[in-house]
This record gives sequence, C-alpha cells and structure tokens, in this order.
Amino acid sequence: MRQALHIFRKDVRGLWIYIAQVLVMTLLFAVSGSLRAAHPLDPRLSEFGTAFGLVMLLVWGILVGVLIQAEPLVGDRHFWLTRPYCWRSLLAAKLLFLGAFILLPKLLADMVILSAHGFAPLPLLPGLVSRLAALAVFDLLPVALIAAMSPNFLTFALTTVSASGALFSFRFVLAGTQWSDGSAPRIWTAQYAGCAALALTCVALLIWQYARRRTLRTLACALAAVAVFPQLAGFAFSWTNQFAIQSRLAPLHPAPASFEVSLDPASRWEGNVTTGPDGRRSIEIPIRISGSPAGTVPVLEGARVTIQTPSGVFTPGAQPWLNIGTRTLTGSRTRPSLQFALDASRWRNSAYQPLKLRGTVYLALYGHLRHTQIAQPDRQFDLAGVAQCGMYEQGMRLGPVLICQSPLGFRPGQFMATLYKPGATLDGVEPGVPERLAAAPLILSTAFDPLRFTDEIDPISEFRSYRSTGNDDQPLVGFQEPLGYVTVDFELPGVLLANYEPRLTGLTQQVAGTIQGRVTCDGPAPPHGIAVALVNPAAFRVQGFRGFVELGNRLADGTYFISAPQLGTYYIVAAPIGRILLLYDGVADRQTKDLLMRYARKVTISKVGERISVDLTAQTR
Amino acid sequence: MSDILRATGLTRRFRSNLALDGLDLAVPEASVYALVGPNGAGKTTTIKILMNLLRATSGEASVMGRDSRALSPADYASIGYVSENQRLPLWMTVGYFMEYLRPFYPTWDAELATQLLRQLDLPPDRKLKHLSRGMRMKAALASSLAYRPKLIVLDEPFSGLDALVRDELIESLLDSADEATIFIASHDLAEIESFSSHVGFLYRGRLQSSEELSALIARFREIEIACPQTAALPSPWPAQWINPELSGAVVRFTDSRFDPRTTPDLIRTLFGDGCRIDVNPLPLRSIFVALSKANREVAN
Repeated sequence: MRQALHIFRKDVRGLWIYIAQVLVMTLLFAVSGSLRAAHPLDPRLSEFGTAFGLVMLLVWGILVGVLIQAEPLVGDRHFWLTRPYCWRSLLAAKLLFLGAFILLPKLLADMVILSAHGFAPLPLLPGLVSRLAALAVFDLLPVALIAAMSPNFLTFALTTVSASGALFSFRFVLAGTQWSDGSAPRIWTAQYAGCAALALTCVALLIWQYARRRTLRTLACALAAVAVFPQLAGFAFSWTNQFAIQSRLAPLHPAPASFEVSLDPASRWEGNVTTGPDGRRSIEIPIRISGSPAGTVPVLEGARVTIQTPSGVFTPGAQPWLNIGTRTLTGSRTRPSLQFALDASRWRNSAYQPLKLRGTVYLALYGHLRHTQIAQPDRQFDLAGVAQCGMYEQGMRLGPVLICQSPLGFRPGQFMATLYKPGATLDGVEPGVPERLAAAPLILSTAFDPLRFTDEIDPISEFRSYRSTGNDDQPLVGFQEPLGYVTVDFELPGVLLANYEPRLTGLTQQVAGTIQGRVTCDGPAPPHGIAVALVNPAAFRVQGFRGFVELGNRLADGTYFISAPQLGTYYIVAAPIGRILLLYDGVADRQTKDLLMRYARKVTISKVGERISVDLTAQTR
Repeated sequence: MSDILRATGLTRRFRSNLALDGLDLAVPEASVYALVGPNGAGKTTTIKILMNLLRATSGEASVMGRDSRALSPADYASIGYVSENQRLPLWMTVGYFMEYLRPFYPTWDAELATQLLRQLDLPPDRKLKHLSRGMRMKAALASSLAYRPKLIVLDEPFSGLDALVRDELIESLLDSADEATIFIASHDLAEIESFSSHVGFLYRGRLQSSEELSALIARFREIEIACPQTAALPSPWPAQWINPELSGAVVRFTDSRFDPRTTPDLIRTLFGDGCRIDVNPLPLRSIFVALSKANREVAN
C-alpha cells in the first residue's frame, strides 16, 4: 500500500494540470446543474447540460489515458519496467487516482446538484454510489483497459475514438431492432447480463494486463469478448425469455386464466385496414383484455399470433410482434390491438372467410396510480416520491410546459398529464384511461428494472411535455408503475378481416353517423394529398381549435368517408394533409386556421345511423 | 565462480527475422562482461530477454539464478539497468527522479546518490526533458547505481556520448565494479577494453566466442609473412587463420588461436624457412573487426 501511495503522489504531481482540468469541469458541471434548478425554462442551460455530459466524458477519458500512460504497459523501453514496481501497487495507485479525481468530485457535484433541485442527497447516497460504480465499471475501466493496451497516448486516443464511433454505429445499425428500441422493455435483462459480462471481462483483462503485460493476448480476449458476449446475451435472453424473467421479478403474479382476450366490436368500423401501393394490407384488429386484477391496467407489449383458415395455418410476420400495445384514438384514448400485414394474394384468399386467430399476448399490468395536482404555476410539487413536477408558463405563444424531475433516473412507469376543468371531480379519471387527458400517457419506460443503472452523467433526470391548453385548465400529473407481467393465451374464432375495411354500411351504435362525399380542390392538388377532419364546433374557435374529433378517410376515387362518434353538430374541413396535421397536433397558427375555416361545412347528425352527403372543397391555392 | 546470467538455447524470432539463434551465454559473478557484436547481432535482444522486457521464442534465461520470466520486484531491486533507448519520466527533475526511486529500493544509499549526482555533475533541479542525451544517460546511471545493485546491465551506454561523459560514466562504473557484476553491450570497444574482464562476441544471434579478455587478447595475433619470392596461399589453409591477404610476396592474416610454441612451426611448415615472420598483438577493436569480417565471408 505504501508503494501505491507513493506512485499515487507521483501521479498527482506529474498530472496536476489534467487534474485541474477535470476539477474545473466538474465544478462547472455542478454550477450549471444547480443553475438549472433555478431556471428550469432556460434552454441554454439544458443544452449546456447535454454538451457538458460529452465534455466530462472527454476530460475523464484524457485523464484516464495520461494516467495509465504514465507507466505504459506496452513496449520495452519504459524506465519503470526494470524498477521494483509491484503490479498490484501500480494498479491500486491508478484506481485510487481515478477514485480521488474523477469519482469523488463527481459524487460531490451530484450532491450539490441534487441539493439545488430540492432533493436531500444523503438518503440518495447508496444510489449515487451505485451510479458511480456503474460509471467506473462501464466507462472508466474499459477506457483504462484501452489505455493499458496502447503503446502511447496517441494510439490510445485514436483507439478510444474509433471504439466510441464503432459503438455508436453499432447502436445506429441496431436501430429499429428490439435491441435499441427504448420501448422494448425487457431489454434491460439482456443488456445488464451483456454489460456485466463485459465489465467482468474488462476488470479481469485489466488485472491480467497489469500482471503479465501480454498485450496481444489481452487484446485478442477483449475483441473476442466484445464479439461474443452480445451474441451470447442475445441468444440466452430472447424477448420471451426476458419477459419470463421480468414476470418472476415483478411483485404481482396474476393467474393468466383470469384474463380474457376478445374482439372489440366497438372499434370495428374505423378504417383498420389500409392498403399499400402494392396491394399489401396493414390490418389492425382492436381487442379487449379483461380480467385484470383490480386497480391495474393491462398494456399489450407483444403478441404471437397464428391465423387458421379453412385452407391451412399461417403466421404473419416475424414474431413476437413488439410495441403493438396501443393505438391512439381521438384525444388521448388508447386501445390494444393486434397489428399485422398481409400481401395482396393472401388478403384475397383469407379476407372474406371466417378465420381463427390463436396466440399469446404479453401484458404488463400497471397500477399504484398516484396523482398530484399542480395548483400553482411555476412551483414544484412532489409526485408521491416519484418526481418533482411543475407547470411553467412560457409565454402566450408557447403555452405551458410540464417539467418533471427525478433524482438518479425515473422509476419505471408511465407519467400522465391530465388537464381538467376547475370544479370537476377527480372521480372521472380512470387509471390508465383518463377521460380528460390532454395527451396520451407519456411512457418513459415500462420495464420493471430493479437496479435502474443508467449511463446518464446528470444526476437529475427530466422530461418535458409541452401542452397547448386553455387558460382555465389545470394540470393533474399522474404516475403508475408496472406491477406485474403476464402471458395470456387466446383464441378468437370467427374473425372476418374484411369487416375491418373502411366501408359505408353496417354502422353500429358505437358510430352515430357518417358523412361522405366528394372532395375537390380550389387549386392544384397538393403533393401529399388531401385529408378530411371532423371537428367539434363547441370548441372550434380560431383561438383554440381543440375539440378535434376524427381524421377521415379519403378514398382513392376522390370521395371521403368519415364517422361521427356521437349525435351532434360538427364542422368538417378538407385541406392538404400537412395543414390538417398542424390542426391535429394543436400547433396550427391563426393564418392556417383561417384557411381551414374558409371552406369548413357544418353538419349535424341527428339520429343514429344517419348518413349525410356533403361535398367539400379543399383550400389548396 | 557461479554464473549470475545464463542463457541456454535462447532463440528469438521477429516474424521472418531470426534475431537470436540458440544463444548460449554464461556471465560469471563479479565479472565485467562485455557483449560485443556488429549491428543487428542480437545484443539488445539478449539483454531485453534477460531483463524480462521481451519474451524468447524458445530457450531459457536466468538472472541471479531465477528464470528471467519470473523476475520479481525484489530481484529488480538488485539490478541496475541502463539503456540508450530507455524512456525516462521527462517531467521529473533529476532530484525528484532520485527521490521518487528511493522508496523502491531498500538498499538505497542517499549519501551515494548525492555523491553520484555531484560526481556526474547532474543539476538536481533540472527537469530530465531539459537535459542533453548524455546527461540523461548519466542521470539514468546515477539512479541505477545509488542502491548498490548486485548486477548492472548496460545496453550501449556510451553510444553517441562525448569523450568526457564516457569517462565520467566509466569512472562511476568502475567505482561500483568491486561490488557488482557488470554486463555491458557496446560498440565502444576501446572503452570496453579498458575495464572489461570478459568478452563475448555475438554474430547473427550466436555467440562466437566468450572468454576472459586477457585470454582473447592473448590468442589473437596479426601475422605478416614476407617471403623472398612471390608467395601463394598454401592449401589446405588452417581454419584458425582468418582474413588472409596476399600482396605479392607478403601474406597477412589474423591468427585466432595463436600459440607462441606451435604457431611459428606451422608457418615454417607451410611457407618454408626463408620467410620473415612478424607477429603483432591486436587491440580488442581489431579483433572485433577481424572476427566480423571473417564471419561475414563465411556467411557469404
């Protein structure tokens, strides 16, 4: 230990300029993080914080590089190689240095930032230490290993930059697969396993390299580990295996037999089959999932489905289907559905005869719903120990922004921002499907992750949700967390896929009436086509434009078809799709709204099943 | 006298290049052993393997009775190693360099360290990066002598140094020679001759000869034979007579196994009685050149 301290003191003396650089950056990190607490809306501080994460990684990497290169392990000309250095002391000195000048200052900076945001740091100390351990194991030690295998600093720098680039590219290549999909919740088990294996290998190789200095063998082992471990993790932790692990770890274990999966007839006539240019049909079959334990809401996260036709059985698409949980309906309502695609010939052969759908759905059960009413703007309120949330006014044009902050990463779960009228009771807010949600639930993560390791540098996790609200609406922020995971087998006989095509007949009580007609343009046809929208006139003001009801279907022959969910009077407008989407997203400006209003038609559905024919003109000039 | 350094069948290959080809070497304790040889002979490779800086492809090497691959910090505490290519921590001052190394060596003699700095005229407050190459070598040597090592290994310590610095280094080395074994690889044969006790001649990875310097000097002679009429090289030519040159009636060669009792008789047998024979001793440098030349001719 004495030798380790001796080497440590030498490194401190020799690398003081790099130490000073890291300490100054850490200080700036703490100051900027603290300032963010006082000025949550200042975008420069947010951008600064993001950039700081990269800069911190850079200066840490430089410090690790020069530290290890003070006694390079590669080469045969370094003076220390023939001096009585004990490799354990040398390694201990380097680790002590990293702890003293990277981890300890980071810990102090994190505590300062947490304090500035109103979170008591001492109770969070175990979490802070575990994050630092993750930083050391997943970031610093791999960089140290690269430095230990590099003959000089330049090689180290180039290798580290290349490795980082390769890692980034690898993630980019994986984009769209289950490995990189942030909403594919089970990944953490495979990621943790892969990262733990890589970290253990990294530690072992670092020790080995210091003990033996067999660089080529160390390098070969490192490359083999990088190539093999992700494959092994992927092999051992398939999506379904991960779901099974998750089910065992979660606190709630409901019996699958209590669940029932059935067709949802209420949503049948809403245009759930769309046709691609090659005749390929994208099909969405709304389903109902019942039998969930009281106080929980099932969310569909994956499914395996086989389709049984009189002529045989087939499996559409690669399975399991992932991220198919919900489809956003009017406003913020969501519903579970099975979504798949069939090519034109298979569609022709199977669409018009009863089919049997068999398979398995993978459900996450959310519950333990907590709400916090944000009574005063620009003040933070505690959301049941999950986060500190506040609604901040950004000025007339931008509308308020909801900011929720949590120390050391958010707990897995769903955040919901509900806007309600003053005086309304909260009884109408149903768990998972609140009627007056201003937007769909913001799903941060649905994984039941017991460790919550994260690679974020910032100790404060934050999400922002911009809302275009009326002045009299008040925010209610809710959070519910995943309590259990269950796999439910189902069988749906008598499914007629053709029933899910848009059609003008066969209305049920769930659709009050329909409006149809032709659309013509007052100018040249827009390149991306025309869309039709139905809007509630009670809310259809030039100022507001809320109360959006439904996007309509514009059929290929120039006609449109749109369904009204209930009896009443509506405005119906036709316009280029981009303009309608601005309306749909609530960001249309006054000029756009004026343009939309120019040819808006008022229609009234006075009895169930009523079909109104209205020809529309779209303003395209 | 036991061997403090020993190599048996040492081979080292760098891709297609065979740097050491079954080297056998024994360095007796308390000797000053000079390993000489032309460029690329394998001197530095030998030293690096002995110091565990490089792995041998095959063969074995031992240092102070221990396998060189298993040298421990305790062993290095008894070894002083100085190489022309050594990379020193240039940011350190000379004084801090010595101060930093001190705790590593239980036998560090602070008084000797101070004396060495003074003797070698090293400024303690000067950073190593601000020293000339010769001064750095002196600093490295001072830091390797201050703990009175049992074994001092030097790899081309005089290369590129001026005469004054060479003398200073040799003087410091000689002061330590009584206590330590010195193993030195060098081209500076004149300096080596002045203080070596043993010499090994390395050529293309093989040790051609290894013996006491006095014996080496004694068995090498330059012989010039002047005959009355034009001479011819007799056949068969003795193998120990290397680098023969014929110039009219004069034949010159180097006898690598000169024996004052038998060599003159052999000459007379081959050249006749009428020839004049001049026998001259050779300095180490000439012996080295003669051996190198002979080896090159054999190789070609």
